[in-house]
Amino acid sequence: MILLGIETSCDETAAAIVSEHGIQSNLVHSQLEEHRPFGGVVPEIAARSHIEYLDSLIKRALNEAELNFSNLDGIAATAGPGLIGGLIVGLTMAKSIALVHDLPLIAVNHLEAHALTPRITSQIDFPYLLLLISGGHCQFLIVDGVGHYRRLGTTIDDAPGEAFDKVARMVGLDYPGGPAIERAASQGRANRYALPRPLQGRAGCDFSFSGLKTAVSRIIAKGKVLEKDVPDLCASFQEAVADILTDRLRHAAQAFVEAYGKGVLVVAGGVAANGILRERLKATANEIGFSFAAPPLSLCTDNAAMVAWAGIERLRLNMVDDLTAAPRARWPLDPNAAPAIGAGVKA
Amino acid sequence: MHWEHELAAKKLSAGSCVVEMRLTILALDTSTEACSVACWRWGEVLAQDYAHLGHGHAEALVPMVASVMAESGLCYGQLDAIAVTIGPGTFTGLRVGLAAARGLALASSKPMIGVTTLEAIAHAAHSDERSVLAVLDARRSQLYAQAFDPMLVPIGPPSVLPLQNIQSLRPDGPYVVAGTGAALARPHLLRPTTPEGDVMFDRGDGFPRAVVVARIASAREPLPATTIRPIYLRAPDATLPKIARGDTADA
Amino acid sequence: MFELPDLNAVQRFAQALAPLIQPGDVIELKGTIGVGKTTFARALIRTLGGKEEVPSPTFTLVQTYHLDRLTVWHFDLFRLKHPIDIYELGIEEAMSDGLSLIEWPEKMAPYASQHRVEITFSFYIGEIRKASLKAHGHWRARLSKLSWPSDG
Repeated sequence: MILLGIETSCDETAAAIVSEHGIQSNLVHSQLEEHRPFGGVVPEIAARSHIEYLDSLIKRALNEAELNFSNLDGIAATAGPGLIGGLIVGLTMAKSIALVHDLPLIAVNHLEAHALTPRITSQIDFPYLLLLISGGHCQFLIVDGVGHYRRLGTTIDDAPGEAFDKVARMVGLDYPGGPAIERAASQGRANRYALPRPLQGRAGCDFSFSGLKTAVSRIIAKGKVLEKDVPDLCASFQEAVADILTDRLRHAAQAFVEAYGKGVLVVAGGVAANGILRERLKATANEIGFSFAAPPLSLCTDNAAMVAWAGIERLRLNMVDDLTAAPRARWPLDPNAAPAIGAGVKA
Repeated sequence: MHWEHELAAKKLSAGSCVVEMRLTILALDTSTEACSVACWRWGEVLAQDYAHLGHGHAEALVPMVASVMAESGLCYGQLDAIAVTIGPGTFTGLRVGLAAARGLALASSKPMIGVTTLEAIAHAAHSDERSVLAVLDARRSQLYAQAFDPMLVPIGPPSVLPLQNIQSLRPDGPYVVAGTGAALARPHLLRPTTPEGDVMFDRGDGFPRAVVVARIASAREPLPATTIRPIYLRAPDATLPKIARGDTADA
Repeated sequence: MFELPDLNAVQRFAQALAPLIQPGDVIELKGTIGVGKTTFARALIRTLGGKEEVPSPTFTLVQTYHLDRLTVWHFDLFRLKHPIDIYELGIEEAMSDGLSLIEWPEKMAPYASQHRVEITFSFYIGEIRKASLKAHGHWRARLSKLSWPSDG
């Protein structure tokens, strides 16, 4: 089974070819040669670039895999959640190709694609405990199977990726903030600044990061953070995020144990690329008797290989969509999860 | 070159253009609240569909393509080009149309032809002897507009302008006003203080149609799909920030 | 200028502003990170009848809420690179009949609405925040109807 995957839900225009045996090609527009002059990844609000480059990118993904449309078994595209302008481009182009070549269309939930990513490279069976952490999301889910998710907890305000970006901006580091803070923090002392750990010790698995972000902004506003202090502030911030995540993990793991006994913790999403957070989560998981899995770093950030893979998982179960499939700006993985009223939560 | 362009336009409008109309075209339009698809071969419409949607083009367009192509009896390999309206129009609509057209072109290895929304309106409203002022509602009291001479040769580029400035694009001589912005433009074109000239208002609903897009495209040279880009035509609000400053209050 | 002693006051301030809102309105929310822009937006959406979760739109740039009275478009333009990209986010539709709540409006400055109110939040003394309002166009007359205890 070989699928084309298309990802246009946010900043990246991406296309990939994936078979049941692995990734045949995996392209992200911002990383291609023509953008190197800007110094690596170009952060761009890419709704416009999706329409401009997606067709060439698809052609290139096929060429790299040495395949053409007639070799495909289906086409998967992210249909949500995300920025509606981008979703429209990717999903509509996928439909057109599916129509001309009479291929099944799979409208993929971007969050499900992240959730299933570790299964591309490792044998991980359902059910498992998932921590999805990215620029726009932070949630614990029990993954019972393809299409079956139970949300245990979610952020009641900001997502950690957003907190990383904003703190990076406050201390004068580059976008994206995650890697920049991790680099700076490696030179700093994590116990230098006292920062809050919102919700720590409280029952449940919800997260809160807004107060942490505000605390950093208050420290900076007092004007005593010099350039030499930035590594310490970054390290203290990163430590606080790690403490929040591991504290919440203990609660989520408990809920998983009650349902299934000890199992596997899977961490996915862009923030899962942070080495320190990964190590801390792994240590806590092992301590409480869970094994730990995370996708390779290259598959943590948004990519189309994970979309193609989610397409394969769904197509195997005959979960296909018709050409009227609608793009969805919001699309929770667990539609039955109660909204966290009184505060904010991602999608 | 310019002269050749005019001649081609003359031939097209006279309906005597045999060579140029030989193409087989699949045309799409989603530039406004309307959504339409047409399949055109050798000067005749094989199949078409039109719906006034408002919203939901992303859901409706590709199934509409599927049913029009099925009705036409053609397969995608028999097409010479995919035609699409490239704007001006709504951002969402243009994106749906372009993404579908570029996807169809990629999947069937066909070139594309881009037609502006204002051209499609002008060609639909055209009658001999009159110039055409094509106007589209651009929201927020603005119009997308372009004037065409009686041979349908554009007089100036497409532009976006405030309602009250539409007079500035009025063609010389008798003309017809067409498009979704016609009713909005009307009071500004019929101001009592200025001679109104010989103006008629098109009786159609003003929405572009894929059939007309196909007819225009059938006389054009297909181009590589990657060269077909949307025209957004958005200028910053002219009134800000200078003028607004005199009209503010602090609390 | 309005004094807001804590985040609850930010909510009360949103409740005071809500009755003045009309379709097509634009409210710009300015101020440093963490000063309460999203908290205000969240409170306003709730006051207008929003029952869904109100995520921070930083990542997606815009979140929409289809409420009884109108549709609220909550923008966070922090990541917007080119002002013209605001059109990619549906600003035309938002400004025609919705309520646009715009964080980091500086990013779309050339395309700002003529009829808008700017609310600038800042830290005043310690954790006490203040909100300064600046009205443009027809917001000017409306703002005089804002009822808020004069002592802050």
